[in-house]
Amino acid sequence: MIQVEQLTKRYAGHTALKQLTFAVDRGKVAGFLGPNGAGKSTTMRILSTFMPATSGRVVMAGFDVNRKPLEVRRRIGYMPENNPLHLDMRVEEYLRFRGGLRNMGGLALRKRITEVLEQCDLVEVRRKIIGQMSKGYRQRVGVADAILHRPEVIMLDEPTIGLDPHQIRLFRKMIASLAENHTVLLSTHILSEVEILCDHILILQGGRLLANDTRADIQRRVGSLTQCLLEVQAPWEILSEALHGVEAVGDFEISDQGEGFLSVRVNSKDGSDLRPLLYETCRQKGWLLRELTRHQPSLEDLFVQLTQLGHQGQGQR
Amino acid sequence: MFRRELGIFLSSLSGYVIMSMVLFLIGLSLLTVILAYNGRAMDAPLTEAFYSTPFFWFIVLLSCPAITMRSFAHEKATGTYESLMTTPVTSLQVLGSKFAACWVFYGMLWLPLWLMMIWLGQFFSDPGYLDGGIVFGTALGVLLVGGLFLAIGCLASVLTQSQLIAAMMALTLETALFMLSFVIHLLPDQSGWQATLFEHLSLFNHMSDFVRGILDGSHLAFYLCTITFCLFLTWRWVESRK
Repeated sequence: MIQVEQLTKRYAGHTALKQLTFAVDRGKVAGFLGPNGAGKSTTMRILSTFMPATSGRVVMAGFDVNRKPLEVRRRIGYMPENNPLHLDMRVEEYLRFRGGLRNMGGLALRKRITEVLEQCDLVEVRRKIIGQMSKGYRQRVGVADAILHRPEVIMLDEPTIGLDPHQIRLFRKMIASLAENHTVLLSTHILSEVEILCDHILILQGGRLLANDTRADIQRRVGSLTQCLLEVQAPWEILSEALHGVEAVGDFEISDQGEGFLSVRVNSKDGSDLRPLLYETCRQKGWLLRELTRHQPSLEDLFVQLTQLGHQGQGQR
Repeated sequence: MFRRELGIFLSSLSGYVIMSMVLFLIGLSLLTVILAYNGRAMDAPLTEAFYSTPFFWFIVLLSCPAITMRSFAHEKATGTYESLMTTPVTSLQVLGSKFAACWVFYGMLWLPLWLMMIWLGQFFSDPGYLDGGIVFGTALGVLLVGGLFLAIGCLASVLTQSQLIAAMMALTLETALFMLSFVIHLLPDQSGWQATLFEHLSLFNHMSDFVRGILDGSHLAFYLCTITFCLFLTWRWVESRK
């Protein structure tokens, strides 16, 4: 549904996107994740035909964005960053105007507006002036506009920014319901959002794609970051030797805590829980164990690790 | 989109401020004409008398930048330009709708003048001072000079995100074009090619024929060419920034 090949965008003085390649299948929710200035909005703008790429190829819903921009626009629903709306208009009036721009009209448009107002929970505020509505309602109007013409692809750029936790929860529910009938591309820097909503995760930094995986693959990668922390009274050399002997143990780091105790941070090779193995090792050796905890990694850990690697990579270059 | 653009003028405070300003200047202009010719024989059509007051050019020069400053600059500043340009509309449709809405609103601003002229017409003993041809010629002239200034204003508005800068830029360009009418008087040789060039560029020259009811093809060609040229530049700018 979305195919991006070798996408590059250069501005005077800097390159915003560097050889981006990814694809999103029909009916999937893809999350674009990255810190501010990573190039998420630039990618969204190119995909929505608003901005041309310097090089590369983008195919949206079967149409090339450079060759057939109008065909692409008919098939996408795009909510830009900061959700720009005509604040002087009423909700229904605004949707009628936007439907008109998409060659919708008459009874079909009226019927569709009623449907999206219900879907986005806007029926009660349909006659309200957008400028007088809360941020949460405005975001819903933005989504209602994006889905009005039943697009094949919905692109939402930072849709939950500025919302309170309750509104975010409602908003996520709404996006999850959209995923049943549309391909959704979501740009955000909120990791939990991606973890909850997305089947496909794209991590972008400095215009480069650091990760392009399904949620299952990402979870596997996150799992590889599983760490155990133990504090044990043992001789340094023997402890080190014993840890090398445990097959599931990856790399580890030992530091002296005083009073004969050593603190060890142990990484798992395959993401498995090392606690039983470590406990058993200590028990067999008769070492006094003061602490044994497992650090459950999150997407945030992977994100930080990847983006730090990205930073180092850029620094080296 | 045209309806939306026109609706902005008719439903916003800025639209009514422009309307009030133009109405005030038209009223002032007519008052000047009435006071000048009160009890005296007229030596020119009423439209020409109106045109000879300084307020005529004030109305055109001030109202056009105020009308066009919002067209692109406001949409760019608020971000709605992005959501507009990602719907299945072409740049030409966007430009056409915005320009047409500005032009129609500009035309509406002058309606009180024609109503006042009709009202004044009943007091003339000689209908030759205000016949249909003269009024039509003047209306066409007003529309064409406004069209040119509005096209310049659209070009200024597409270049920036600030409405204020757009208005100042349009006012400067329009005033510069207007001032070209006076350059001919500064030339030592009144029969050279420079004089011919400035005569063709003189908005005064074009307008003075229109207010006498004279429809000359060269005047129409001048306005249509310059309007098209400014709109073409605006369209190219929109396309290049896509």
